[in-house]
Amino acid sequence: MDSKSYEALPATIYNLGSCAARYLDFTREELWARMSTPLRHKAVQVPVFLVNEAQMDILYPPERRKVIDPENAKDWREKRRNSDDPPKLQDLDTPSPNNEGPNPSSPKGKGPSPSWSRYERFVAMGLYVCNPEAPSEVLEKAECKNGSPPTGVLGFSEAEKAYKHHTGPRIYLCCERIVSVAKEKGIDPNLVLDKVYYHELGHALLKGVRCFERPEDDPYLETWGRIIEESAAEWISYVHFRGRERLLFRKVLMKDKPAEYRSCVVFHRIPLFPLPMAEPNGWDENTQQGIRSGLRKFYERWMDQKFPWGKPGAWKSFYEVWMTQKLPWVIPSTPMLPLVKGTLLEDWVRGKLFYMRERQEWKKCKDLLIMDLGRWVGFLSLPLWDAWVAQRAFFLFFGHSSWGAVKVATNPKTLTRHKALFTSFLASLNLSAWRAYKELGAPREPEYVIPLEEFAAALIYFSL
Amino acid sequence: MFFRDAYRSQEGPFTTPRRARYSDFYFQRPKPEDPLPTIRIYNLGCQDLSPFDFSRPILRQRMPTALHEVASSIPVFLVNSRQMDAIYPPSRKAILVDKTILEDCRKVAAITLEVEDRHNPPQGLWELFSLLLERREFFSGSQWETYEPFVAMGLYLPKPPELQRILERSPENMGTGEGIRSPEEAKQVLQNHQGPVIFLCCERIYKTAKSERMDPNLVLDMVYYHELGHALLDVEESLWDTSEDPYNVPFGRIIEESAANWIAYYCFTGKEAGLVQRLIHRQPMEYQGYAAFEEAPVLFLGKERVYHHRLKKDQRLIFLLLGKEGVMCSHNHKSIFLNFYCRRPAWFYQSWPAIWHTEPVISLYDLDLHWAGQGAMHITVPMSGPQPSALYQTIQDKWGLWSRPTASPEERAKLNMLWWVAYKELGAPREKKGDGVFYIFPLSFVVFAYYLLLRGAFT
Repeated sequence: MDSKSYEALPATIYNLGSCAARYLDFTREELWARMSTPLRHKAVQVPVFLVNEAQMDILYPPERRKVIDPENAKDWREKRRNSDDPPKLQDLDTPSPNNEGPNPSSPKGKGPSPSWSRYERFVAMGLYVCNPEAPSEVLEKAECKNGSPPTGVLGFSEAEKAYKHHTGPRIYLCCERIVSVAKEKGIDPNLVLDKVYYHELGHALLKGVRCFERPEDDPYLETWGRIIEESAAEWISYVHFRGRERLLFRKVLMKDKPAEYRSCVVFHRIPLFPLPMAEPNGWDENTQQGIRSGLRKFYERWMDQKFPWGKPGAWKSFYEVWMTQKLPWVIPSTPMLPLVKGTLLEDWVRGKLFYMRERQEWKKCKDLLIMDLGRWVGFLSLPLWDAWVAQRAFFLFFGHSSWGAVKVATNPKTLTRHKALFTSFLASLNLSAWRAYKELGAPREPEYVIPLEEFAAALIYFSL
Repeated sequence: MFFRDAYRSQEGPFTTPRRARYSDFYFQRPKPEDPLPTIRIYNLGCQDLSPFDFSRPILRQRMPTALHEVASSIPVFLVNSRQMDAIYPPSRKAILVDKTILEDCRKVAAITLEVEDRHNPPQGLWELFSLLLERREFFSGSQWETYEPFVAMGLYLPKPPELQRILERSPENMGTGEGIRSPEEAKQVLQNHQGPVIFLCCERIYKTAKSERMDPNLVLDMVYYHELGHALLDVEESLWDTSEDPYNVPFGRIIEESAANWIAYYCFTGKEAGLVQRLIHRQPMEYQGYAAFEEAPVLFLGKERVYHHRLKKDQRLIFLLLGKEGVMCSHNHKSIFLNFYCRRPAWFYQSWPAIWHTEPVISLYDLDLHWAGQGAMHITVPMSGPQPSALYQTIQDKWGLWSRPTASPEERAKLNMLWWVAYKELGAPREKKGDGVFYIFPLSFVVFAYYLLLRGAFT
């Protein structure tokens, strides 16, 4: 065997008719070395088809041609900040009246967003499809069929066969757009390729066990679903870069992205609440409103914190109140308790606090709540996940109080590490929660949807 | 670990077998200045060795420290596919039926477990999992042909096979290469050798590499490391192919093959690692848990605990009663872990991705509990030293997406390997024997295997 025949790549990549593929190099070490094990595992499973612009336009589902114009989002943000009756999330998809186009499409409609044409070449660079259909006109639009594909990439004949017969998820990458965007920005097209490829693999990671059988179940078609899905996938892509490349990603490539992609910069900073937040179909209209505004305030306060682990003052006063009051079995009202009011966590928090009071383990409790970041995170993340996970997480922190292995952190270096740990902890909780929600079949009861909507709104709100 | 303990061998013939230690599984990326192991390779029946280069330094440079000793002590024999078929044990020419077992696993995963009495072991769970992963019917001979090129490329044997069966299938003229010793030498060594051996089928390796368009040397290296992994996971009193061999039930095979594949995968980085993952993707179900093997720890079911609340904080001890064997004590705060997780490992694995970031999840103290309880102090996990900082250091290095571990993946993987080997050293008990310690072992591994299987299949 000569060295030419060792050209296999970890992923199966076909050239379905893209001429610009010859500018891209899939054999680079860093493309594969950057990936984490699960991402590469996905890359091994999911085949990639390189397509040209015309093919991508056919393949890109019309119902997915929706973007949020950042300008529009800024207006929405102003309104949300200043008014008592904040605008809904769906308003993001409908442009404000002054720059409205002739045919405004409804947010759930089939047609593309008015600003789609502006963002098309930045968004439709890649596509991940779970249940692919293979329209034959894509094959007719193929170019450079006879040109030799880049090293490791399979040529048109194999691509055609795989395109028709491969079942299961697949990834399309539009090399023409990747190359032209890179040229316009003056950066290496391979960097853009890597970014787009990781983004699509991120969608693959976020897919649950199975695809949605009915397409209308897919939460991507909702505004909030699209925001969460895209910012999660973009975050996955983002964290795989380091140093100069990350800087290019953020300062150059992200500039031309619609708002839902830009919101990845806060994806790891705010928590998604546990789903469902209460027994499904238990909230009446008033409660829903209350929960909405409560969540909105929570996110505002959350981002208002100087440190992500917050100021312990509230807890200190809570502690003092509790220890000095005459009726020890009454849980005093605290700033934190309204957060869990009406949710499944309420009983648990009350029980837990009461238990700790009973056991006179206040010293530990104080440590837990106030002093140490680790335990503070543990307690703050109570509303982040469902009760039993939280209970366990809590006990883990509880179990290792400050006289054990974990010391109270005062060293600024350690605090930095804690902060990093904390943010990654949040991001992974968010990713897992989103994935788990989709695995449930994406139920649309308000107890599921409201926390998701508010999370998506916060993503947009804080990322601008 | 099959090889003799250097310290004990100085004292003369020893009666107790050597036990595995934490330090046996020292997985660190090798540095350039590290000494390389010497490997002995003999050709027994391969005609064409031209695609392979055994003298490449990278073959030995990639090996982590844990593999050095096995690599330098175990001879490698190159055989052709007929010879391989002859020595490959018929009981192992079967694979886990993926569809059936996955469906059953999904059903088990869908069962919501009620909070049971904390003093009673989860009986129902035990029945379910045993039912699931102890059944031999899950092995199928029918798909063996499909997977043969990806599975029967190498073989580890704790004892050399019958020489005659190999010799009668050896061809006339055999290939040679740099660093490969002659067939005559091979025969001599194989006749006198008593310990474990590794067979590599070069024909199949070449064929697989060609069909996958990969460098045959890369496939060769991967297969070799995989077999070395089996050698590392074997015990001195080997259970291999006995009735006690856990490899013959699904859970054992899942753990063993996932671990060996993790070892092989660990040796590579970057694009090569991707290619190895691609090869693994072509292997049957039980091999797919390699990525999950480093994600979560094997957890043990606790038995009983007594809380001495009157003791002072520093003296406060938890007594873990492990049957008749002995009493183990540990600090209270360490055992809360046991109290919560040990009884509900299935839940734990469900929630594992969400909470593994919390540093104390697997503390080195906890790992000693069960083994020390048996008076088996041979497993000495380092318990002193600045643990939190050492653990936290790895956070910044290992910044993978789903893995935000505080203990590094290597750390977890080697602890899992340690447990697995130690379980085999106990004779791999699978029966639930009353109040004895044996209760805790099989179920823990069954549940861990279930986790590996599901993660391998659905991520």
